[in-house]
Amino acid sequence: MIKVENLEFSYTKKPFIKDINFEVKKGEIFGFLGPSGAGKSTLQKILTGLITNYSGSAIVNHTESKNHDDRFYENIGLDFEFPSLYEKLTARQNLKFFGSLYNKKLRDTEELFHKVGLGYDMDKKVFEYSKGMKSRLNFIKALLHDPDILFLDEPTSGLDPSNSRDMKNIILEEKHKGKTIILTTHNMNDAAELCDRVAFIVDGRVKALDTPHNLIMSKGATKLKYSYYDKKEIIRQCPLNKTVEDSKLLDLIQQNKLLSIHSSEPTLNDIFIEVTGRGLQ
Amino acid sequence: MMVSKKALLNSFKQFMVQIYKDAMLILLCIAPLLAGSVFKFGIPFAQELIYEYFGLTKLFVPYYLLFDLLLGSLTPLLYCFAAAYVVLGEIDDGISGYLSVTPLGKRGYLISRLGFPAVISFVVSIVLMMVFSLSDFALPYIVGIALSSNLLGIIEALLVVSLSSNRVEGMAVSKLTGLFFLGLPVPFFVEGSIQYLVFFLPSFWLAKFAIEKELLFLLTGVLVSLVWIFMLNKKFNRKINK
Repeated sequence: MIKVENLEFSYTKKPFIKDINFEVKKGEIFGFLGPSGAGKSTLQKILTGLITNYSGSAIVNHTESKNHDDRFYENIGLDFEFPSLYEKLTARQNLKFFGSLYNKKLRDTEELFHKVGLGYDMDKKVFEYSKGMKSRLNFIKALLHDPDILFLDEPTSGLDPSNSRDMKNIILEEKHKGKTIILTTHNMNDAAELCDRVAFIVDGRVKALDTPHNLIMSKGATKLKYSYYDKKEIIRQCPLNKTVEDSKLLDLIQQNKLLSIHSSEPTLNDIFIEVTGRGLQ
Repeated sequence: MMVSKKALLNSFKQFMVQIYKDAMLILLCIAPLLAGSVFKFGIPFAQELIYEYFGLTKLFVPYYLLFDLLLGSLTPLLYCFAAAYVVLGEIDDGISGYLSVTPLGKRGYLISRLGFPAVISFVVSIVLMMVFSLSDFALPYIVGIALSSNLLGIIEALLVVSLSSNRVEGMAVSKLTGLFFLGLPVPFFVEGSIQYLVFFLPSFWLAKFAIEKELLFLLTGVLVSLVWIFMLNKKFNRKINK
């Protein structure tokens, strides 16, 4: 669905995006992760045809993005991080207008409103909406024309846990319908939960690319942490696959003297810091 | 690249809804009609009064053509400002950038926001000049003036949307764009080749065309305007891609 080869781009004489290669298959959720200014938005602008003076190749839905015509957008849905809505119009009028720009058959707007919990607010003017409501409206605006490829930029940002859960369920539902989804996020938990594969982008380059599970497993085995009392509380740890070799642990179990015991896996965030040498901001 | 007709028309309809919902913009759209009436009846009346009280027979008469040019330029100036004002609001709300990634596209967005209003203003300019001008003009001559002044209007709109980041700044920049119309009186008041110092102002070539009735001046004005439009369009494109 998306194929990027030897992609390079620069705003100035200094290269900004350099030597980027990846492929995203139909029905896959692919995450761009990286600190602010790493090049995620620029990459998204290249893929969506907003930046055309790049070198290399960026094929989206069988079209080289710099050579796209406006029909290209019939099959692309974008959810920008900041809502782009007419504040003086109602939510329903907004969707009616944005939907009127497409030649495709639109999805049932009322159903979309109900899905994101805006069923009773669709005739309210957008300026009366809270930040979270605007985010949800912006999200369904991207789904309205039933696109094959969705670009979602921080889709759960500013949402309460319940609405965030609903949003993630809808994203997974879209994936199961065969939609290809590019997710740009700072939220490692969302990325680990939703993405089939993620790319760590730092300084305009892809530093690592794999499934969240493989990234976690390749960089550190799960550990077992336990504590016991010996004049004071002592905490120890050993690799989960070598517990049998830890005689102290075996003794403590036999003597029933453990104070606590739990396994601890590295998170995607730990892996990101390890791979890139910096955290997400 | 083909722009979807449906997207273009619906985008323009949305533009008109925004004009309709803003009393200031409606007023801007009818202002040229009011100005035309004042020019047509007020200026000859003032000339008569001046003759009656001061015995001056031709105080305004030599400048009737300049008044006509002002009238011809007023419609694009105000219509294109109204369009720029709508675009600024859409930039504020992130809508301009979003519309660029719909089947409307960047080109369609510009056509529906600046192109269509310019066409309407072109027609209104011609009608107003036919009805209200103080000089006798042949139709092709009026069309030439309307064409040049509408290119000036597009330059004004692009200046406003490229240089300002919100509606308040847009108001200030629109006043500055008035400088672009300073070329109009130059051929009337400055003699000799020194007047060509303002060659970069399309309004100068508009006035030269109106006075000399030479097609070359019209074409030069169109060329200078297109250079401005090309440069400002590049700047505007960069802005909506941010």
